[in-house]
Amino acid sequence: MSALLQESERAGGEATRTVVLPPKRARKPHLQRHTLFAYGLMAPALVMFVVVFIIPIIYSGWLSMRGRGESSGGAFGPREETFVGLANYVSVFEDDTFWVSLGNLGIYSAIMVPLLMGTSILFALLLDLPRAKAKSFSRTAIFLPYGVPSVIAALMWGFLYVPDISPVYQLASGLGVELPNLLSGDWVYVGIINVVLWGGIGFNTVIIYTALQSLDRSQIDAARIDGCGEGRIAWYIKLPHVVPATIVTGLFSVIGALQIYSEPAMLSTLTNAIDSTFFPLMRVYRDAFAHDDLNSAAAASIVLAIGTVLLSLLVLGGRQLVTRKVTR
Amino acid sequence: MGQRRTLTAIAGFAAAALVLAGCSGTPESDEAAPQEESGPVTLEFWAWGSNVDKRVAEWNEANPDIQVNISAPAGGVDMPVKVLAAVRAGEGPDMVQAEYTQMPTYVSAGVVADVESIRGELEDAFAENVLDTVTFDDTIFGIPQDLGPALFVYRTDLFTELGVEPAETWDDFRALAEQVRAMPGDHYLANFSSLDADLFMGLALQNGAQWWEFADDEWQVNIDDEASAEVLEYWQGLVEDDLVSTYLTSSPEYIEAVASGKILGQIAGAWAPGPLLNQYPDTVGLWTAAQIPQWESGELRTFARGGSANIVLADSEHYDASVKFLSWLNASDEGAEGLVAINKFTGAKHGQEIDRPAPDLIPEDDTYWPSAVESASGLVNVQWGPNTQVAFTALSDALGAAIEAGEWAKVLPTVQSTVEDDLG
Amino acid sequence: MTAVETRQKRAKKENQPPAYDRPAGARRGISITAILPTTVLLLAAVYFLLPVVWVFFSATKSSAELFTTPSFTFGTALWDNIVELFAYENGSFAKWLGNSFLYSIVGALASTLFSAGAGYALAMYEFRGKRAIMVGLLGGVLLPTITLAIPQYLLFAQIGLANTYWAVLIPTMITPFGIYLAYVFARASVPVELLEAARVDGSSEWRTFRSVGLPLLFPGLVTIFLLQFIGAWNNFLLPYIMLTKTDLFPITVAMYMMLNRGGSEPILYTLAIAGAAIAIIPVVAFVLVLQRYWRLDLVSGSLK
Repeated sequence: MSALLQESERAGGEATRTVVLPPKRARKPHLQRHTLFAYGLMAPALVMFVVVFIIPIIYSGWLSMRGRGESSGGAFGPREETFVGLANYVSVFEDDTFWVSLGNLGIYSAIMVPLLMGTSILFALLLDLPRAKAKSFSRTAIFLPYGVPSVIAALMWGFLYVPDISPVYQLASGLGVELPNLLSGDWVYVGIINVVLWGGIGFNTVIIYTALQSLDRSQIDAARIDGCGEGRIAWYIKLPHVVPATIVTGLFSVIGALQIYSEPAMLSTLTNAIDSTFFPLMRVYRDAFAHDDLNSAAAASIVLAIGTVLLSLLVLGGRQLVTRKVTR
Repeated sequence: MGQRRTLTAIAGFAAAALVLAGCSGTPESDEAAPQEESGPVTLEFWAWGSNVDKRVAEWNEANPDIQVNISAPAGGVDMPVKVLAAVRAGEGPDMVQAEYTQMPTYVSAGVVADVESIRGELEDAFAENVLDTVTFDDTIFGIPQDLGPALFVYRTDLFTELGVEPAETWDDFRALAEQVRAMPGDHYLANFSSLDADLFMGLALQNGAQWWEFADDEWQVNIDDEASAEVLEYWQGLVEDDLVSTYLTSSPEYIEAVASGKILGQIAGAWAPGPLLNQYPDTVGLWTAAQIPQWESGELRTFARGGSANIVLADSEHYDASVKFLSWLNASDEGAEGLVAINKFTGAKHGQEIDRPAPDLIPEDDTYWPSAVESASGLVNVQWGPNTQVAFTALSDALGAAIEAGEWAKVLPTVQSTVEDDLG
Repeated sequence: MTAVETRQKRAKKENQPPAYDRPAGARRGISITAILPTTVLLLAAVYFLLPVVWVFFSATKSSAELFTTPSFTFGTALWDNIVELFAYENGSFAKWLGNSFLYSIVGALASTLFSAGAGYALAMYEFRGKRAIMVGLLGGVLLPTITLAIPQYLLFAQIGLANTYWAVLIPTMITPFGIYLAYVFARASVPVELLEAARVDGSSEWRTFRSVGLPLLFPGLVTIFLLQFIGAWNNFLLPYIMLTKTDLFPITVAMYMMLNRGGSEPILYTLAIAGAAIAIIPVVAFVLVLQRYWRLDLVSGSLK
């Protein structure tokens, strides 16, 4: 993604990539024709982008500045909608549950993302080991959950978390191990993270694994001949090579983590430890649905969207730093 | 040449987008067209109650001019959300099934048409306290369908095995719960779920609480009051002393516990036999019902769990046809008999008075329906607030935190302030 | 032209099974160094397969068996569950499956096509407004799309689009992420010199795009299509918010409905589980059959 930005920055100055190399006089009409063509190619996507993104964003901003005013009379009289300025934003920031949900999200992301990236890298390296067996079977098994909708994943794990009927708990107690109940107390983070990891590791593993494939093999063979162990090869040759891929997938994982909704929402019907405002998006949906307060929901989602963009830019900045270091 | 080609290509490529836009630009015109009352009409009816579709099919056969199309785009809790969104979008149905607790949400959102046009008919068909639950600002907004007067529904076989009897007062209930825990088999007398906010509100009502009051043109919220606090404290004791289980209703854990006989009974609405039969088909003949425990013996005070009315939406272009259908379905003697035949405990008096066979779950038990009728006679009066749903969400969250983390003291103040803030 | 040939050759080589799996000096048979990684991988496989295996066992169970019999035993109700599932809500299940296919295939196809056009244009041409478009796309990738679902619904409703197939299809058809992928892939696989050569030959821009650009982009487009297909198949919130007509539901929303019914209605666990088993078959088959055509490396831009 940072490639997008870098590219657009470079685009201005870098003449070599420009397709047309005519003398300056002739350049203008030529360029216009290509511009027309380029816009033509982009037209459908641009039109859709405006319809699906731009207009709803503006509409959302408008909604967020409106609110319920006075009752039109009687105990059950409907309340008129009026302009309230930034009042919805103020009440979002003043609401404790908003900050609690952000805190929960922070804890969740701080555990989930490193675990996701760590296990994905580990599996990718293992799959890349020449001596490991049953690789295509394992790779398929690891990737398969990516195709399972999160609604279904949460349903399945919901059953597997119930100690009295879960084969996992039965097996553990048969071995004399007592597993904690993943639907109680702080363990619920583990419960949620497990469902997310289960569905997400495969995708990331395959990306990092394919990145490993593009590594120059002669370098590794040389290292092996020099008597380097697989561990050292992984650490000194393979890992640095997959750093850029890892950062990009890591960024997508962060964005995904901030948008978490389906898994905890499904699991919340199984445990007291997840309330209706546990994560920010759950809170947005409570406002919109249970409270029938679209305005406040719109304000909160705009705050979240801005937060996500800022955070992603931060990660992008970090990426540019790291890639620069690695390539040097 | 190149340029012309380019333009053709652009046109071709953009055509896809235009086709999409073209297809979509026109709203389905027949829905928007003004309705002549002469021709046949089709009414959209959103309802999730099982088997009501059978009644609808009968109506459709007999009334070719007014066809009803029943569908369930959302269940219970999600229904108001769907309906309000659809109405805002101009896509609402003509009629909706509404739980009694959801009625105030619809009414205060201004989406319901009143049914004052058939007030006389309704007053004949329904008891006053039933009609009260669909009356707001002295206006009748819904036609009651089924009631859920609360009953303590329990496993007769396990009660016999343990040699115990259902409790008549809440003091006895606690003693019984202790007794059950002390016996072998790791049984619980009942379950207390944070999801059942309506149950907790009912228990508070039974103890004399009244959560909302409208006086001097203003809403008073009394959720954090003594009567409710007393009920909360009672259940806190049961939960903390491990005398009731705390599974979430309908979770796999809960169903397993009921299926295996770990949980002996539940405070359910009169509709209980239907879902019990579906969920636990192996327990046919093993259940019965007693009246729920009382705070003081003597006068029977009960509350409703679930149960729903049908409403006509204000935007419907077929008001007369909708009212005609709904009053046939719920208020007429024929309709009440039909509802009884599909195992509903009707709001209509006629449906409660006629002789009916015992529920399929307990085919030998002819005390069940009389118990339900008795419970219905003791329903305490309830004043809903305009934001009952807000209260229920907050209450479920707060009870969850109490059970999970022991934050019992926060429950009522939190719910009280959330509800007050929402009223603005 | 030679640049293309070498690129194509390289691409071909990369698609072949990696030759370094068995370096010349590797010993045959299982050694200690092979046992540990193999064990870890197999344990991982068990972990990832466990819920899927569970759902297939559970789909054979009746409501009573589901909660009373051990997990990995067969029940007696597989056929009953399937019959009941397909009879549920007047036989809507088949329609829901069909809807899921419709949303996924049409949505992913359109999205791939639009992404190809936009990605190619952004990668190959210089024009005014390019930077603004790129920043807009970047924002689109970062935005939690589901926060847009509610305003989208209200807007679509106003133009009479809510509660039609378009309500789900249109948002599915445009994904900034897909455009980003097409862009990265176009930059990596379509050499600029080629365009110049084509232009010198008198080929129009459109013809160059169609006969040179698209074929080179094809593997990337397959990947975009597969990603969009799975994304659309698994999408829940968008259709959940957009649709109130049960006839238009995709399978995810239908499953949610089975699990969240009214207070006095039992939860249909057996049906939901049977439905889950059936719903994951097509997409898993899809993933397995097509996984060799994926070029997921382009997701991270590591092709360059």
